[in-house]
Amino acid sequence: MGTLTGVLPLPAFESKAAGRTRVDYQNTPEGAIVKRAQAGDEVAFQMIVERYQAKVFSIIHGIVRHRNDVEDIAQQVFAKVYFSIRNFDFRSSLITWIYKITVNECYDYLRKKKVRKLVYESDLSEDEVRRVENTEPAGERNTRVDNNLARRDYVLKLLAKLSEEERLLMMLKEVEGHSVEELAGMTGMNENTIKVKLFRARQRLVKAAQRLERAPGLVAG
Amino acid sequence: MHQVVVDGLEEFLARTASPELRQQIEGHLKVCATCRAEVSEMQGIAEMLTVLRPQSQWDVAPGFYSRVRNLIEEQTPAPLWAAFLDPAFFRRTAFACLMILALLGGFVISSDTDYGYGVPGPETMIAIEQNTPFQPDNPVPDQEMMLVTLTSYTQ
Repeated sequence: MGTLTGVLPLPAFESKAAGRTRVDYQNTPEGAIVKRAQAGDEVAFQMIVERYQAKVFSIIHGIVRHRNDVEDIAQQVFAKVYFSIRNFDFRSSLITWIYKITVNECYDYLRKKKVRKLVYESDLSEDEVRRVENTEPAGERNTRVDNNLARRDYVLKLLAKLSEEERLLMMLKEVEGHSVEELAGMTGMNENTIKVKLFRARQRLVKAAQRLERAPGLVAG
Repeated sequence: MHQVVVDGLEEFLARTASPELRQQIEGHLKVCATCRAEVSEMQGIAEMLTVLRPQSQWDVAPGFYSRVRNLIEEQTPAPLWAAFLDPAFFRRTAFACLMILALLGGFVISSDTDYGYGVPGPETMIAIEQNTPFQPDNPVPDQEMMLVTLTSYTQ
């Protein structure tokens, strides 16, 4: 299977919508807030934080699952947003840019902490913990949580093999569930480019998975 | 992977492909084991990625923004002139001045000589000459003394 993927041409996608989804973010109401924040308006920055804080927390929790560390990482994300908002060039939507910062910050955190063994209960929401405690015996519960942790660990290792951009696109597509058209609008790239990048990312993930199956130590993130 | 699959891959994986496209791809996958295996692996990985989806809505604790502001203030590099307002700066400067004074004082004391006021100038020499007792019967010593005085002055 892997023999053909390297030599065959990249997809020649034909899309009538190619290029038409580009959005001028500078002239949106959000663009106006960003411009104010870029000029040093604290109120505008506060609006940005309040608008996206819940989303950022959810993204971080999805990746890291350490409830205690989620807020620390979120604070760091918004501090980075504050210090680099002047460099935001409106080529993508603000949330895409913040999403990228968030994912990178999570990977930094995982690299620093070398999180391999996660705290079991922190993996689940409080409701889930309550529900699980009432319905499942301890053995089954631990097995299920173990499986989830192993899956997430595996997925994070695979994603670590992608470039920042590929990782962002894969996460927006498969984790957030956006369509190619939406991705084109969010990133400012045309649909063909998105498809090519996603195809390459998928191929890389398959190769990384194959390497990991052959020699588990090789793909350690 | 064959082009027919590559072209419609995203739609196929997202299950948004038109019936015709889906039929076309599935038809190819039936006869091509290579594409079938690769698409299957891609589907598997795409499904696994859903493990990163947030499982619940996150309630942000009140006061989050003020904590972000505190962190920003901690991380903001202080301006150069702010160093002058730092009390530690004054302490260090005062200590450095004292140390310099002590060093200079030590140097002055250690380099003090027996000259007292230093090498005598011409006025001093003339005053010494004037205080020398006059000897009218022997003017030679006076002349010699004057020559010595002049010689030592030019040297």
